[in-house]
Amino acid sequence: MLAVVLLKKAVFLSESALRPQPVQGLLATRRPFIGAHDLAALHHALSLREQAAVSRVAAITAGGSEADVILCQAYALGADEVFRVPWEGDAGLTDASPVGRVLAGVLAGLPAGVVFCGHLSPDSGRGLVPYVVAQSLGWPLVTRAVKVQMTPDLPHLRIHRDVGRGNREVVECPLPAVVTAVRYPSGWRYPKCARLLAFRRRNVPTLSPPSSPGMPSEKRWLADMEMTRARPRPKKIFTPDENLSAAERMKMIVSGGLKAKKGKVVDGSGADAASKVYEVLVECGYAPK
Amino acid sequence: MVSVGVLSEAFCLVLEQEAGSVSEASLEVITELYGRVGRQGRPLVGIGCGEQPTAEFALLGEYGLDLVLLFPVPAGWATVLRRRMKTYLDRQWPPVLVAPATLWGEEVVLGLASELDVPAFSNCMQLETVENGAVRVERLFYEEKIAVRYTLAPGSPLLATLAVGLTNVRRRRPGHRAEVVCVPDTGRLPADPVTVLGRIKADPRTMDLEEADVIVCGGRGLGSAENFALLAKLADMLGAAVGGTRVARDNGWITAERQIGQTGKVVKPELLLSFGVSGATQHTIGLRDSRRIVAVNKDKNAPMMKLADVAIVADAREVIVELIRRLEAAGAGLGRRAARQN
Ligand SMILES: Cc1cc2nc3c(=O)[nH]c(=O)nc-3n(C[C@H](O)[C@H](O)[C@H](O)COP(=O)(O)OP(=O)(O)OC[C@H]3O[C@@H](n4cnc5c(N)ncnc54)[C@H](O)[C@@H]3O)c2cc1C
Repeated sequence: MLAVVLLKKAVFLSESALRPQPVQGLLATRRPFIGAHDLAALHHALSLREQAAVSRVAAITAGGSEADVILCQAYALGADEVFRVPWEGDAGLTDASPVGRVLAGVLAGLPAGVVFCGHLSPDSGRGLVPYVVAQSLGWPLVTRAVKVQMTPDLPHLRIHRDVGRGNREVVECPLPAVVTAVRYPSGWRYPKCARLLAFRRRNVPTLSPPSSPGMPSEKRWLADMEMTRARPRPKKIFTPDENLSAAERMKMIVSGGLKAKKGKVVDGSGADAASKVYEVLVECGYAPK
Repeated sequence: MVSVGVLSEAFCLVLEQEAGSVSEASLEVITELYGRVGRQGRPLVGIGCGEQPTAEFALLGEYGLDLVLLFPVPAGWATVLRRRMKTYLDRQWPPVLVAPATLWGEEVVLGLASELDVPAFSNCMQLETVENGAVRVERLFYEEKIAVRYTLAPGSPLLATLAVGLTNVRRRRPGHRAEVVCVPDTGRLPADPVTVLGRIKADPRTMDLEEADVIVCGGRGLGSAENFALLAKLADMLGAAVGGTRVARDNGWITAERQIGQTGKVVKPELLLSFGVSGATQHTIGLRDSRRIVAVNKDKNAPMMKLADVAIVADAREVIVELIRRLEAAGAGLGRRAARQN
């Protein structure tokens, strides 16, 4: 079975955001790299190959020849095959949906059993491509994977996904499927010099969808798109409710937003005091009776 | 009385529900939408999961919703909700459909966008209407260095998730009630191929303080690193995370990411046990959303004691030692944490 990893050429703006220069100047200093989520996706695919759950790992990116640098990194890290899908749109700012459909068209012609993607790219991070790929192929999608294993009996994947607050959900998913990754648990791989050199001697094969329906750009939905330097992200700070009286608002500011509760006050020795705390723990279900 | 017919001009919000109630993230998005568009007379419609029109949904009127549509879907089943919404909203698709930028919101909104082949903008910082009623959203790109503002063409639908953690929740229309309409069940849908086998709870020792359900917090009153080690032992037995004040951090008893307050983390635990903390404003600003607070302090008049549900005037170390002894006697500890995981 083939595992395919979809990699995006993420870009990093190397200039300081604080420099007073126009946005175009900033954008001119882009350096391509594989984002952390995409790397995690590649590592999950490679580790499935090591468990003999898949036989080969192919890395695919969409873009012009400048995207080959991403494929070079993937090849050096251990991908068996690399392909580029010629694409001229801007997958980051607008065209996530068309690029997803083109990639799905290519995938439909490959014997892929599982497709891995990064959950979000660090530069534009809309997270739409995996949804579009899964929807176009009619395959199930599992997002935010942190651990991926093949089940021993059925051709299913058992996936631990990050569901926030540090908790995980364990799901089982039939194959073929699309999986997005956010982390790889351990043992990062390093690029191999010999493979880097071998990549230079190769021509990157390109793949096109069997029938190119000419994907309309998402720009057709937009009247205008304006780019500016970002203001710092606002932090949610406490401001008292405007429905309260001035006196109550002052009190809340002084207490940092907490209302005085006039709770129970218990005076006593360490043992008595501990009994009281213990009662609360039992009441809240954090200690046995 | 608002009719379901308003959908064709409404701003719709997919409500996230946690443990049976509407999440804080959803309330934040309602507050933001009401401030930006609801006030100007645009109807705001919430989309929730449920079978009964409970009072809790009607109360969302106080935050700004005019109508709540309840789909007969178990909360958390994004794929099923998506399919039901698609069937129900097919003929009167709302011009704007948003959700909080959480796992749930993302699964509903991005999933719908891919099925309908319309653009979706995730994690937007702002949504507003501009001249001639066009809708504009702002997103940040390239490590938040560049902002891109998209103005939608007239008649284009907008699907978006809005960033959370930026707005304070407000009841802008006290006494107002939203109309709650239950959408009829339209028959069985094919089962989701992905099966959920279970959940694994996070390890509180390594998890982010902002995400912890129980926190034990120490201040200068604990007096030494040894006493903080005792506090960590207590935390371990309770399955709690350890936090502290700025003084605790300055003394090296905790690391920077464990500090609570204005220059530290803002936490929202179900239970906070505070030991030897005076309750300076710069600290309590980080405790605002704690549900239940127990404070132990030698000084009865310390501000922290007034903010606590249970205030205990005692020596912090003595209480911690005694608590550990009791929990050990009761067989708590790692077993207890494992019990909570199941
Ligand atoms: C700009 C700025 C930002 C700040 N940001 C933060 C922040 O983010 N977080 C933060 O915490 N602080 C912050 N501070 C510091 C803050 O003002 C307080 O100084 C700090 O919170 C006090 O910490 P504390 O309660 O541990 O110590 P103290 O205020 O010294 O209080 C110690 C308490 O312990 C009690 N005590 C003493 N011995 C015992 C005992 N044996 N048993 C029980 N109780 C005992 C005392 O009665 C007292 O109430 C900031 C300050 C500034 C100026």
